[in-house]
Amino acid sequence: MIVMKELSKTFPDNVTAVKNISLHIAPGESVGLIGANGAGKTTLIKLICGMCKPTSGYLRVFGEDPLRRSKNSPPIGLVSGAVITDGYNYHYGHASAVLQDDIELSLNLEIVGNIYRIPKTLRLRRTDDLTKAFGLNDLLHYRVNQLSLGQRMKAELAAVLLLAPKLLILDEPFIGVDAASRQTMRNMLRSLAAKNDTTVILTTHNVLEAEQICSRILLLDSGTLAYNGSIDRLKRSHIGLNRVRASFDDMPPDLGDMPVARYTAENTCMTIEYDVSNISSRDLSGYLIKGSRLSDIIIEKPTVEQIIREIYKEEQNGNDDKC
Amino acid sequence: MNRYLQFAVIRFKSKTAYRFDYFLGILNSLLSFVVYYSIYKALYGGAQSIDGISFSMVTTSFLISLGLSSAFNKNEMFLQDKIKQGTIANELLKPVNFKLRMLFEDAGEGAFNVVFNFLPTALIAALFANICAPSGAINMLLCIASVILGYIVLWQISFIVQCWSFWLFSVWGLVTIKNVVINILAGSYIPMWFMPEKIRSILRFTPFESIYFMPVQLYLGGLSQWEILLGFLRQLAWIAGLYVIGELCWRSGIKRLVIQGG
Repeated sequence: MIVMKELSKTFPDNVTAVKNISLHIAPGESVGLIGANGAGKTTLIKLICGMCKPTSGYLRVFGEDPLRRSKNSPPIGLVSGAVITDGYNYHYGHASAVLQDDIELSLNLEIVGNIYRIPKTLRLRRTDDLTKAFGLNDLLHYRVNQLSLGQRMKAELAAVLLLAPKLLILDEPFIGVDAASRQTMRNMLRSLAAKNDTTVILTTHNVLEAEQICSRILLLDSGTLAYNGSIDRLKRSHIGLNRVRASFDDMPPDLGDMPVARYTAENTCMTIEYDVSNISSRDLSGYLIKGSRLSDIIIEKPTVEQIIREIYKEEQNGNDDKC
Repeated sequence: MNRYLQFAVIRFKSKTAYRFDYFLGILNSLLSFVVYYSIYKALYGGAQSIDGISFSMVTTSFLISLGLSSAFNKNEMFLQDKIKQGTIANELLKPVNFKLRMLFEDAGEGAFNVVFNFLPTALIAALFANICAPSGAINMLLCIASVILGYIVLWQISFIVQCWSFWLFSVWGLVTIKNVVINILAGSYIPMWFMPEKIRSILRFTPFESIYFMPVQLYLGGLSQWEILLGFLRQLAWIAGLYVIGELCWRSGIKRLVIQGG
């Protein structure tokens, strides 16, 4: 579906947003694109959509150069949360990507259907399914600029799914969306990803959300691909440190020569980080219970977020070494 | 329905949502008509005609100009908004010709303005002002044809100016200047008849004369067949020329967008 070989993009102001990225995304795969602000996520998406010209490298989407997309190219569904929330306009309020602001939602969906030449019966069937799934039935007769941000985002997503695109790109789709609407969108995307019929690329800062929807994670760090693989492998290869938070009735114990990674002690509380391959949780907690008057203990497993932070840190140290 | 026609129809419909805006619009048009009407009434000072141009011809000319400018009235920040908001990416992903779609949407808005702004204004104006009747059925048809060609000329000028938003932070100033220049040079403020002959002979070679003044002259009659033919040829030539310039601007704008990264 998407093939990249040593793809790079340097802007005229000499900022390199994408550096030598090579990857392959198979049809029907769902991929989470994760990275901090300015990591190059949006540039990568723009490259895929043909909105940005690579400085060097090879890129094919649907087997064609995205810059040469024509009217007959397969549709790409694009929902950009950042555009909708940031693109606030003095005259028109929030920007819309697919929908038109001053028109009712139902008519909007009809327009989308016509633009993409979707037969009427098919369009009506899909509209019916989508409005049910997104709970938009009661909102169909509202103008888009009368919808709340969450409703709007759901409507945008519904409008894009009306095309049944083989490639769906979601750029921060959850920005500004409340928990309930997020849940609806997430469920929808998860079932879509499970069908393996649509290639989904999801950009987000929120790793947990990506984890729920995507089978593969692409970690971008200042334009380079820091990690490319499944979340499970990420967890296995970078086990990360467990963390114990313990509080005591009096002074915390001396850890002596326990093989922990690091610890901090403050008054009667203590936070210990350790690698389970060096010392098991049982041994450590046993030591704490035996050696002192333990009042409370919490053991935390590393989250994917922590693991990713660790990877970023490694990358950064690596870069520092080079300098 | 044809997809592009649908854009026009929908824009037309969506405009009907703002009713208060529409009433104020009529009031606005009526006021500007009354202002021009009063100024020229004072200038004529009861005279039947000046340089062979009667007061009712001038009044008619203003009314037609008013109708045309309401037809030509559209959102000239359209492209800029799309670029600044970043939704241009979504627009370009759609399998429709962006420029053609813009033209049809604007035409839909123009049609709305004519029906709901100009026609009521014209009816009210006809109650107190002496308006000339069209000079004949054929001339009326020619007038409509000329209005359509004039619209395309004007639309393309606007499109070219809007294309500057690929390079500039805001094109509002440019658009405003463009509109003032067109209104003066095209004879919507001062009818072409009263322009000094030297300026008129220069304006004849610009696209402006064909926008407002050609339809007015066709409506009132009095142009020779040769002049009509020449006028239409000039309009067509300008449409072709502006199309080429517009395409160049659009393509280099897109090129810049793609290099700058959208």
